[in-house]
Amino acid sequence: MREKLVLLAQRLVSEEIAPENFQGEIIAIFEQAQAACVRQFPRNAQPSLTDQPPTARAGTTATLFLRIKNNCWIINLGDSRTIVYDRDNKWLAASEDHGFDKDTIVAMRKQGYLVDESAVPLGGSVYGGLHWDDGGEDTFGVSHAFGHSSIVLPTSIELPNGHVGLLCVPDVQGPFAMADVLHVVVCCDGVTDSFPDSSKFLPTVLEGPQAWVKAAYEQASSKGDNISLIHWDLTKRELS
Amino acid sequence: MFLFPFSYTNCRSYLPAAAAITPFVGLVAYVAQSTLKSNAIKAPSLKLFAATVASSLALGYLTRLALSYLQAQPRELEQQPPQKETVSIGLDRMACELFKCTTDSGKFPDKVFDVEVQTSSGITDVHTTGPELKYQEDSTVVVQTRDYTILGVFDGHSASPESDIKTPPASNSLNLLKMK
Repeated sequence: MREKLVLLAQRLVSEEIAPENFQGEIIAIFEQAQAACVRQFPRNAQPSLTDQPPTARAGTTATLFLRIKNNCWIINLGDSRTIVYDRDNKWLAASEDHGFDKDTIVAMRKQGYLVDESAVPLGGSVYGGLHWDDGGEDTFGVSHAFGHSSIVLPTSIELPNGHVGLLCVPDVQGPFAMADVLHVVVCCDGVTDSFPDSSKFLPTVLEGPQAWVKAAYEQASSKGDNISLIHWDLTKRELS
Repeated sequence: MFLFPFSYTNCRSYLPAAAAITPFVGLVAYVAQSTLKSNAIKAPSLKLFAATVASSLALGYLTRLALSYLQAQPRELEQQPPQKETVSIGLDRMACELFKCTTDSGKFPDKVFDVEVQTSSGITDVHTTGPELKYQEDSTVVVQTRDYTILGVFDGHSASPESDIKTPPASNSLNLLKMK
């Protein structure tokens, strides 16, 4: 994925890709990533939860901050978030966590998906990834980033290589002017639960790595989750 | 003596001027040389000294200009990564205590908490992993060049997006849903 993103950025810089086609390009990259995830879990190879990674509730999610010269784009899929600190000294959530609300359920049912509404934690508690439904047939579901674990897909929907699953496309926002951005923080996985209110964590970003890393870690670990973050302090950048 | 701000932008703007004056520098040197030769006996040593100094300065200026231009070329940080610095912030042990985790030997694991600071670009890249969360190692993408920046975080929970991306899916046959 790294190579594909670099290639995409280079093509954007050289203006090989028109801005109106950018969204399609980035979505294609995510689709390929999703297909790679699906291939890792053969449909008939449901793992034992005792000696294997907890794949029944496994998942994936991603967020991406992409700067091309003096503009930037925010790409987000699932339970991740990109936050910026602007020149007005305000922290702004540049992306929206993908929640799982009633509207989504209705929309999915219209598309033929089977949704166990009683098992869906509305308004949060989302997690990303891939899921086997071990309560019935050998169906293959995909949780929040590319679906939700409470979703059971009709077997009529086939993914390549014989897998069944659900795809989500990422939100793509931009371009935004880089001139107004002083800090960028990208957070991955568990942010909806771990960081429903970012106000406690974000001010520590301005105090330096030791402070904000400690704060972020403690906040995430209090929910029993891990976390990965990237912070870009543009006030220190040498490249312009 | 030459108080030019040798920034990348200025070097670019000076280069055409440098290229334009180069022939004149050569012409001046030629005329000076011819004059000195024809008046070799009368030529005071001061003229020879001045001509030598002027030629040296001109040559030095052009060399410095070219050098500055080369140094100011866009740096591809993928090829020349910024200086990385591992910062110990004393959280490894704390993280283990929070998770109450030890390895089979009873010792704290070596790496629970990684902090990587890319000092020259102001980017701090952090991953946390607890032993009971050992399947949730995330992966990040950090690419910084003059023209573009990629900051990507991908949850690696039982799925490594970059591990096997060879065959594009037949996406047009899939039922896409934008969850929002």
